[in-house]
Amino acid sequence: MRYWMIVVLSLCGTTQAVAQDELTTASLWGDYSLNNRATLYLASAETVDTGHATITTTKVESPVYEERYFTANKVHQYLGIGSILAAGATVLAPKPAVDPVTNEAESSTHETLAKTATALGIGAVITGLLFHWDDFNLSDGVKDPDNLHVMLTTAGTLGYLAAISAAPDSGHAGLGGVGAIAMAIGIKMNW
Amino acid sequence: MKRATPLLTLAAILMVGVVSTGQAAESGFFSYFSLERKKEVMAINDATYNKECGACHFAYQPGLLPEGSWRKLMDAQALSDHFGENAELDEQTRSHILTLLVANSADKSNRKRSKKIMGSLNGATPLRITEVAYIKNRHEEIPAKLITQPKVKSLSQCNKCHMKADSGSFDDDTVVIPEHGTW
Ligand code: HEC
Ligand code: HEC
Repeated sequence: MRYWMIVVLSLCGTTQAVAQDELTTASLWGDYSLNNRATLYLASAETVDTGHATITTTKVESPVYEERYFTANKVHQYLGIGSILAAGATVLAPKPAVDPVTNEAESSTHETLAKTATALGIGAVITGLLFHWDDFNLSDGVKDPDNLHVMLTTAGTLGYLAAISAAPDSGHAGLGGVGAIAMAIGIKMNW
Repeated sequence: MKRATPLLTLAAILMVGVVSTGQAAESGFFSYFSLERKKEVMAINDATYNKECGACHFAYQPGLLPEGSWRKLMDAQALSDHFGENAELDEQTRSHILTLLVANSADKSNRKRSKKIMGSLNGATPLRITEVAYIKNRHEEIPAKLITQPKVKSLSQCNKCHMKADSGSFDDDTVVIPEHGTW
């Protein structure tokens, strides 16, 4: 009966059933949030002769692991990809008219997108420093993929910042473009 | 400022060129632009390998150690006393597995984890993945009792904690330590 309950619960994906080799009861362990959503261990029945009575135990076969989509590393990843997408959209968005006298540009989607790309880039740099602090160390040299990733993506974000502050002067597009390329290669490095 | 744009574009193109030629070495220039993820260790789907080397522990991906390590481990003599166990293989199976390991070893891989492993080895060829400085450092903060507990036993049992180890992924996001949970 217990065995069937485990199977049913496992299939429903509502809880975790972790069966152990030597225990006569399969322990339903773990705080749902701690052990994350659906780490299901499918159980199979096995009969063990203990010398006293024949009892049915369960045995771990294969853990079914469900990927989580909102984790520290993923937030960093989404921010980085977001900044590239926003930079791409910035290039495509129509450029605003610039007042020839004041050299001020009208507010535009182009500008909003550029600022979004920069904000996302800054967010990615900050989360990178926070969540991946252990992953890079300059003593590993410039050939280390994580060091390259840090340098290129930081340079990319600085390129965006330079482009925003130089705009609407000509040349700002070049700064933004180099920034986006550095960002893209940096992300590719750790993809 | 007008003249700066073509210069910067040129610099950008050069940068793409330099970095991508380094990256594309594994399988041609255009593969660089594919979306295939290259961060994790290359997965291996070899039935013989999985059967023979996955019987007592997780079937470690070849990209976790350099060629020199695999050659030492796969030496016929060494296999008869493999960490205190007898892991002897017939000659044909041994050479099949050795070829597979050597062809995909960390020193030949373009994957980030393999590069990180190579970067931390400084030419050493350890017999254990768990002795690679990069791998050792990554696990420094884990309390010993979580590693030695019966459900894990030792750090060598990668797949007890790394839920996606079979696919070559060791991302700390995918760790679930028995009796502890996500990291
Ligand atoms: C008879 C059981 C057995 C078989 C078969 C076996 N191993 Fe092992 N292996 C062990 C044991 C035991 C250890 C030590 C594990 C520990 O320290 O917890 C080990 C450890 C290792 C390690 C080092 C792991 C670490 O700590 O970093 C490697 C690498 C390895 N084995 C590779 C192989 C390869 C390749 C094969 C296939 C040719 C193989 N093993 C087959 C029992 C086996
Ligand atoms: C006791 C559980 C456990 C075992 C067994 C284990 N790991 Fe880990 N591993 C972890 C945890 C927890 C982390 C994250 C550590 C941190 O971020 O401080 C980690 C991190 C890593 C990382 C870095 C991941 C990243 O995102 O940067 C690699 C690579 C790795 N492990 C490889 C291995 C390999 C290879 C083995 C087997 C030889 C192994 N681990 C065995 C728990 C384990």
